[in-house]
Amino acid sequence: MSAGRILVVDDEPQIRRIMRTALTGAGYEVDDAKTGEEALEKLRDYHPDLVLLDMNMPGMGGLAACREIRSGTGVGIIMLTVRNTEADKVQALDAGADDFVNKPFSTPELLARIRAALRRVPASAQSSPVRVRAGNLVIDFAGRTAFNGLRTSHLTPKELDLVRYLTSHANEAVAHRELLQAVWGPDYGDQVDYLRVFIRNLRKKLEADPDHPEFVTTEPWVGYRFNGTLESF
Amino acid sequence: MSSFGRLVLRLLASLAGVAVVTYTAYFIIPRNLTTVGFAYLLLVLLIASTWGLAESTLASLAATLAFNFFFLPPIGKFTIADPQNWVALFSFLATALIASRLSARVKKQALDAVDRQRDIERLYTFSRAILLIDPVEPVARQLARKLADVFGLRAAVLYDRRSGEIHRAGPSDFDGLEDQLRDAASQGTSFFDPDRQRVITAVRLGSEPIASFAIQGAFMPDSVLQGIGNLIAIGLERARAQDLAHQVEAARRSEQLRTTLIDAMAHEFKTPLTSIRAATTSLLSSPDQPLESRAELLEIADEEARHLQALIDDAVDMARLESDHIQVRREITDPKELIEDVVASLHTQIDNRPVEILSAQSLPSLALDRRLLKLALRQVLDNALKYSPPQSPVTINVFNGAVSNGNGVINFEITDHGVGIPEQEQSRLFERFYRSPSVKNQVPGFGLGLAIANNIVLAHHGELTVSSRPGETTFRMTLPVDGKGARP
Repeated sequence: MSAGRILVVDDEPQIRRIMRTALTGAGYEVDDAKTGEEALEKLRDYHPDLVLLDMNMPGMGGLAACREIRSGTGVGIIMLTVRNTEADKVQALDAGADDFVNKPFSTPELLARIRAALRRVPASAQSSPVRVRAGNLVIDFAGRTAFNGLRTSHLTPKELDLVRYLTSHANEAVAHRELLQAVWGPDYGDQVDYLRVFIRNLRKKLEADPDHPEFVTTEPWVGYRFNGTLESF
Repeated sequence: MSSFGRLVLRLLASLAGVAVVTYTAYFIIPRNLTTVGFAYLLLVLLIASTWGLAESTLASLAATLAFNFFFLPPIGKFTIADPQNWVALFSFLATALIASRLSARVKKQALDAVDRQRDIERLYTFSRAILLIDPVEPVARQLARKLADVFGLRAAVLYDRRSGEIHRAGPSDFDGLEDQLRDAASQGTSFFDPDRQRVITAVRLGSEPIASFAIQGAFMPDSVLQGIGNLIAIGLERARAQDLAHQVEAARRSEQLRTTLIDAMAHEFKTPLTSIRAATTSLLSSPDQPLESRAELLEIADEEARHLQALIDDAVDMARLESDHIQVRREITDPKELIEDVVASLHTQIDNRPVEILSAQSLPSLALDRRLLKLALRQVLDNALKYSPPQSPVTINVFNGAVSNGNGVINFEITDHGVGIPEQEQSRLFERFYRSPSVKNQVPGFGLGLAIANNIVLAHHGELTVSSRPGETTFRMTLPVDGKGARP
């Protein structure tokens, strides 16, 4: 029984080779692709749990591949890149990645990030309702979709985890650190910029007017809050 | 000859003229007082119009005395018997003096006009020279030289306040003066020394003195000095503006270089480093993994360390080859072996892609710098791999060719099947830091590879050309099989 299936997408053959060795050693099942195009093709048959995606590739490039993958599936995506600027991180997260790792990285760090990305919010998740409604908003946890009264959107696993955690603490302010650790794991806590991007993407799916959010509101200097009375149905 | 000596000679010549007229009138023509008087007057006018006031005044006085002595009775004495002759004699003297003065003044005005015209012509020449100044040499030095040349000065010195340098020109020395020049340039003062025809004066831009100059060897009116000062100010200011523009351009170039290099370094260097670090950290964090896994990790780390070393060598080469002076160390080389070495060195990038080498049966050996040529071919082949789809084939064709002068050439053609290079970009491909706008965000690179390959090929007296259409791009490197050490 493997710990998960990972698709490594990188144009550098040596990186693919080292990832295969290191990830196989950690108990994962690994396949690889040289380009974004090939990755999209492999995604259909291989059904990985996680995609490790290089940002800088010939052809369609990592960001476009990420958007493409995200539009079709809820698979976890970690972007790998040699650039380490705020703008690059935001771009990657905006494109739908769940996390972001800088090259060069250490193998234990990458494995920790992989574990975090594969992690689901477990205990409360099992007992949480399958479908909830608050006003016009309908969140279908089983079907991983959200309906904001106008359209239905697909939620990524991390978005789903965020919503799950926020709704289970409805009408309470949830601190940044608490939210990060609940969703990404204990190694996280300072990546407030991650959270900002995720919340922004989430609002696009949950809110009728994302610029004036009704459900997911910001608690200045503290964190976020889910407003509304939830009913299961 | 000094001007004083010339004046003495002219005075003597004037006296001699009076003597000649006196002699002629006394011995040859009949003694008619009116004729003699007019002859003297004519002489005085002649002298006044050709020489000047001093000469004509002397001639007037001498003529008056001679007229009295030789022609007015009693003859042979300086006394005058008839009072009417006193009137005649003084009328003559007054007429001669007034005529001298008028004539000399007209002459001086004519000379002044010529001087002014010459000054204006020189100022014009000087202004033209300033426009044509060559920016390679310090502008202030050229200005001093042009000043001395155009105005025919014995010495010209220009002090540029901004650079603090003093530039000297002209055949004779003009020593010292540094302090006076600096004073003139900082306080805007002027210093005249008419005896030795020396002038030191400030050059102003607006009201602010920016430089000063000293000249020796010519008297110049204030207006000309002012004109020279203005032209120097324009020349210096223009040079400063050009310098500034160059600095801005250089800063822009170096900024561009910096960004390109940082981007490229980030990708090129971090990729092998990533593999190495991933391998070593994996080994460190789980030392108990199976033997084959450990061996694989170590092997990757070793390969990538070598890759990194090659990258650093390349980067050093690039920095060196960035200049246009390439030292070529020729060795006899087999072209087929050369291209095979290049392909082998790129095996990681080729990564099982179909790369085919076609070569003519009998290729002559070439005398070339093996290391440089490998670098050049590697750049071109690496480009072909980078800018074409990952599975598409790349063909390398090595064949003989002939050029018109009878010497043979060897062609290396590298053909890929990428999207092709638009016509308008082809001419810029070999420029340093040029990166095609359509690919520069997708494919990492320095924008230096082809420029360097081109420099290397040119240093071998060869040629690197490109032909491209959608779906096929061919780079052709043509190297001469010339007499310089090449063998059949």
